[in-house]
Amino acid sequence: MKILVVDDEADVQPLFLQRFRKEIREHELEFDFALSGEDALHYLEEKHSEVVLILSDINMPGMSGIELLSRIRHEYDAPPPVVMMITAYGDEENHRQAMQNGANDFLTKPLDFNLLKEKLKTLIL
Amino acid sequence: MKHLFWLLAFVSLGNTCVKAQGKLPPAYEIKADTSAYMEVPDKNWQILEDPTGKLTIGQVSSPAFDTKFHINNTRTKGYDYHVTNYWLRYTFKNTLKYPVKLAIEETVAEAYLYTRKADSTWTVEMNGTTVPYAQRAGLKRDEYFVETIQPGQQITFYEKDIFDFWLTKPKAFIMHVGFADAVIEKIYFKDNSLFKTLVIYSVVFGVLILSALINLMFYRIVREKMYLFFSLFLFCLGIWALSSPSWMLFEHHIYLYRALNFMPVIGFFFFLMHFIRNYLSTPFYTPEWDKFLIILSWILAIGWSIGEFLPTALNYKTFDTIGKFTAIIVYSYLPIIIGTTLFFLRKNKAAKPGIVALIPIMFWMGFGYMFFYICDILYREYKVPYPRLYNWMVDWNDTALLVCLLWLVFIFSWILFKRYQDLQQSLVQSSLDREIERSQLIEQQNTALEQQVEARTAELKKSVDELKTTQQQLIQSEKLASLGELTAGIAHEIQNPLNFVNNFSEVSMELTVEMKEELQKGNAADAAALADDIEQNLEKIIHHGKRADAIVKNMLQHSRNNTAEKQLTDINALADEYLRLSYHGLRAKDKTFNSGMAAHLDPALPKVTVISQDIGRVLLNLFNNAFYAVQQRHKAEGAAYKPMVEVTTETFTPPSGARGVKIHVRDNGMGIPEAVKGKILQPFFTTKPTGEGTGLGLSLSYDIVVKGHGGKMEIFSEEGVYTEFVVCLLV
Repeated sequence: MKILVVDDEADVQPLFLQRFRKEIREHELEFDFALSGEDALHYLEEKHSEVVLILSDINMPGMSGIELLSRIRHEYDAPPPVVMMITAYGDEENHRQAMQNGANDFLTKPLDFNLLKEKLKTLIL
Repeated sequence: MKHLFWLLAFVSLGNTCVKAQGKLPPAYEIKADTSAYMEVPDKNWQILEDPTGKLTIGQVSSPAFDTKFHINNTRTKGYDYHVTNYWLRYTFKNTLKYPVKLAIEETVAEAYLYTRKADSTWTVEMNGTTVPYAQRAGLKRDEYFVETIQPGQQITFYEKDIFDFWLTKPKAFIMHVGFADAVIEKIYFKDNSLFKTLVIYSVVFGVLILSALINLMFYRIVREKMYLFFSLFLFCLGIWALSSPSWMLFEHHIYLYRALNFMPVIGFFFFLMHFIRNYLSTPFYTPEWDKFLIILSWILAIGWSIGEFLPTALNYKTFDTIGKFTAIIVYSYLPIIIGTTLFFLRKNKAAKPGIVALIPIMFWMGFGYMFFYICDILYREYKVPYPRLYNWMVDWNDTALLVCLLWLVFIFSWILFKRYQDLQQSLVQSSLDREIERSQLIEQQNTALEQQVEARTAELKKSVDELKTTQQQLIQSEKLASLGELTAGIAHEIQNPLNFVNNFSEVSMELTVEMKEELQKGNAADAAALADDIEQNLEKIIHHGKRADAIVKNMLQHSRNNTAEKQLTDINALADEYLRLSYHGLRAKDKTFNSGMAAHLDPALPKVTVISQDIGRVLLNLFNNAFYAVQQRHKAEGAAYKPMVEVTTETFTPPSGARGVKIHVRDNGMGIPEAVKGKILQPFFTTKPTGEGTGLGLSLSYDIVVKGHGGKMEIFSEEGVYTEFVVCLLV
């Protein structure tokens, strides 16, 4: 299962790679990274069919996560990828907007990877 | 004075019968020349009225007119004032042993004396009031014809008299004849009354006119009418006094002289009344009586004037009635004035000296003239002889009248002068009082003003203090507002490092467990690889821990007051940091919004000595404004618009030569409208909706840059295109 992680923080990449190293090692999961919404769209243009799950930060310079979500829902919705929004602001407003725009889930930073893993398992199974 | 006497004379009346005479009257025989004057009895002369004035000496001396002459009847019925021309005829016979020079007195306007010469022709001589000196005969000054009659000689004279009843109004013809030498001796040599009169009345005239002028001046200063009336009264009196000695000046202006003679007398009475009215304040005390006095004065003035002007046009009876009426007014006039003054003794203390001034004239003119009048009537009607007092009073009339009048003038002048002095003094006193009052008032006002000023100053000081407090509060709230904007950004900035710290720590723990397992397995290479990962993770933990630490420190610095000192600061780092803070702050508020941002930072930028949190606040404000501007434009224009906020740093060389740093904060937002450009640096100016902005951000920023750091802040903008703030700081 290919997962696209969109976040402007470059350190997200080693973090995800290390956290999911077992799953990667066992080829259960495959990660790709984008540093901005624009990058992500660019990536999806070619590989949207491969990507099953998109994890996206909301607060990013340029295109925001919500905008990206909305674009995905409009442009790459067949088959619809699972989109989970991650944000440092765990407030109601962000949550509401994310859900309105068709997010499947909403996670707050700092990320609880155990929780994320649980959610992924339910997705895969 | 003559005039007043005349006035008395013209109202007297007599009544006897008229007898016609058919031939020349018997000659008047001159038997002695011991007395200077003699009155020729009526039987010795005759008169003839000449209503047309066209009769000639030839006609009247002809037999046709012989019987028309008749005995003098004017004593009984007075003159018919319509007839102004009269002929007289009389004969004088000298029974003495020597020649006599007769002086025949004339008092008419023009008189012609005809004497028949041996050849039966007539010689004529002229005399009279209106006849110029040069043409007069005999004793010119006193208008006497002088005729010489030889011893035993008998001469018949025809005399034509032309009256001007306006000039003189004799009650009857009386024939006075004197002896020329005696008359000359009496009037030219023995009698110096003419000179006395001249001197006295001239002096009196001068004194009166001077007093009149002085009183007029008093009037101009004090503006009390009594001074004006007294001045006019004195003036009239002066002119009237002049009338006595000045007749010789009016040889060719006899009518003017006549006017001078009576008009001042009327004025004198008239103004005396009005002076006394004002002096006693009758309008104030007894308004009704005052009205009566005014009417009385006008009746006197008008009645008298009519009496003076109209005689020739009226018959004797009408004239006499007016005369009597006027006389009654005149005789009651002074007693009324004096009575009023006496009555006012109890009302107005000014009346007392007034009485003193009026008493002599009251006795002389008021009662004395009444006495004359009564005596006249008694004499005429009942032939009661004149008492000796009457004759004495007639003799002394001129002197007494003058003394009485001068007394009046003197006393009143003295009173009025005293009064004027008092008035001036009270005026000075009152103006002094007013001055004192005014200065007191000014002093009071000054004190009040000072108190007011103090109170106002205190109030002002209070409001200034309040303003300062408010300003402080506002600045504080502006700080809090920017702090609020910061916190949202800070939350994001802290959560992110925390995310890494937490997760890298957890992963590292897992890796450590794995590493232990590998070591127990003796798989050293794998363990070493794991240790490398752990090391990298720990580095990341340290990095993000420090990042969070820096953010918190910054926040603390920002919320602290301006107690911080200037320190060498990396402007690039500051710009980058606050750009991010601002961005995240705005994002925190509005999730739908996003904006591109770029930092073009000059790596060679020197460090600048500034209060970093102040400059940070400036940058934060500029970034906030920039993001706000692009956000607004984004709202207005939608998805087609790409919001962009850029920060650029560069070095520059200012004119002063030192090195400087420029920070450009540029956005492609709404731009600043021209109308607003001048205002955006004003405190409390804001284009944001109420509650969103304090309006202090830019003004504080400007203060920080310009006043706090001696720098410059420039604004460039094009509406709808861009806005660029440039902050220049010296190294």
